[in-house]
Amino acid sequence: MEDEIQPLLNPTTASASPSVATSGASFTALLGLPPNRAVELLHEPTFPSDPALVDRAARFSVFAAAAAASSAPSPEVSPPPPPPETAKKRKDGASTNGKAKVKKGKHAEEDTDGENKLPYVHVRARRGQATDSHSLAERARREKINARMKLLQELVPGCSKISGTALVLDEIINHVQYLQRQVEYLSMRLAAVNPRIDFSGLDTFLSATTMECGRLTIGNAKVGTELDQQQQQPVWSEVGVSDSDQMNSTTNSKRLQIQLQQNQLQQFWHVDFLNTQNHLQPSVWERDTVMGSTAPHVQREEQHSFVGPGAVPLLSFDRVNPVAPPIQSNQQLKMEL
Amino acid sequence: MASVPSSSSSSPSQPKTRKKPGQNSSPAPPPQTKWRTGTQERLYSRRLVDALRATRDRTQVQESVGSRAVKEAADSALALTARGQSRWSRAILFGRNSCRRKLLVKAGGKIRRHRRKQHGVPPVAAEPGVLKEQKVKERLRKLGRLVPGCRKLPAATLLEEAADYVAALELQVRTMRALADALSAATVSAPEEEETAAVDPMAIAEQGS
Repeated sequence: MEDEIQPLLNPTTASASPSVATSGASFTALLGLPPNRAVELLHEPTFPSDPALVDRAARFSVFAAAAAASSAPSPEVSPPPPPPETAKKRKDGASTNGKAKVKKGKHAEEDTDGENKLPYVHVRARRGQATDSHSLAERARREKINARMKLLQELVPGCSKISGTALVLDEIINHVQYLQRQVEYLSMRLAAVNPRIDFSGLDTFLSATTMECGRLTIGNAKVGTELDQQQQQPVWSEVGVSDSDQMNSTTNSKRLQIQLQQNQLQQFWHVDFLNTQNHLQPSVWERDTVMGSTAPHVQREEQHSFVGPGAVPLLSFDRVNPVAPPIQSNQQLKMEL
Repeated sequence: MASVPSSSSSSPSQPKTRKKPGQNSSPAPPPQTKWRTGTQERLYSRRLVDALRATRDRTQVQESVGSRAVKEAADSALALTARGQSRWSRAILFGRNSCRRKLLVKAGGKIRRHRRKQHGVPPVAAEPGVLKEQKVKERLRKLGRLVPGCRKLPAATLLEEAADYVAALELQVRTMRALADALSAATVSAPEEEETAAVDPMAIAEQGS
């Protein structure tokens, strides 16, 4: 492969070392190659040292039209001097490879990879980075869009396999429509069920138990065992059913590993429902557990102490005799307890 | 960390409310994690319940609650749970609030949901490459129509809103399904359970709301 490239490169970059040349010192060399060769070159083992470059290379791997890359305006492309670092070189190689698709306009700016797999692409005269402000801005914009697209792709099931913006968007649109239809259907169901039920508190209990028993106990992670002894989180055991306690305990032990993100928030929630039963402790020392200490002592008392991480206003539950001022930091809580 | 309980990353996501694009992306939590937390579920379910109850009370007792009202209540509850940090949530909340129809009627004339494609669909593509671009643009526009309040947004913002919206919708569907199942299960089961169970929680519910 290198042999092929050498003669092509020689007129342009005489001083270029073979390695440099192969890694794409000049796109003209690559243009001269048949497409598959160029792809091989692209996927050279030495090439993808930088994951970002690999990404780019992958994106530019649609090389079908490269065969038509007959016109190699070598005079146009000022053969860039061999860059000092390999990375830049390789990146250039990737991008020039990608660019060397069908039409090589004589544009200095690079076309961005936002337009996935466009058959025509502007050829970049520069190497590595686009110093043109337009192209920079464009590239930034494209990257932003691509990042969001990727996020969406992860969100929508089955989109990761699909390649191509249009198809992915299609999938996303379908998914959104599907979800909206589901909402309509469920609202119909709820409307049908609504009038017949008291549903003030019952459904809270029910939905809680059905959905979230495990999630509620997020704060308990560390002190799981002690949890079991107390009455746990009876967040949803407001009904006072013993089963719920047991259920909670089991789910607690199961879910101990759930990440403790919003600790305070959970306590807030727990407090809300702990009103009924008078054991508010769990929330309190949930917080402690999250903090990782002082859990044992805190258990019994402190029922109403911590109350509200300031989240109170949201649901305005006033029952929780707010002994504790809305504590934001863990230390404060510790001290208070 | 959180003076606001609703989202897991409440403080970091607060900068979102200011419309600075620079600040927006960095502290914004990814929609999956933001909408999947247990807190969100509870929050939303609670709101949903309240909204449903309110809806039921609002409409006359004899007639059954319209499904559209339920849907609107659910959507409003969802938007409320989003705390107005996303465009679609604001659009929903303000849309309900001002009740667009009244405004339009006041303006005179009938309100026509103009679905007509004014531009038509320009099928002309200058080059094969442009065709794909047009397809993408078409899809983006369609997506903008689907997400409430996102009709004329640039692509990046639109995609962001769409991601948030999708995550929120999933939460909504999950919650509503659980609720509907619970309710229908409760209806089916013996009524005594409901009463005994409802007593205590009723207290909280009243105080909570």
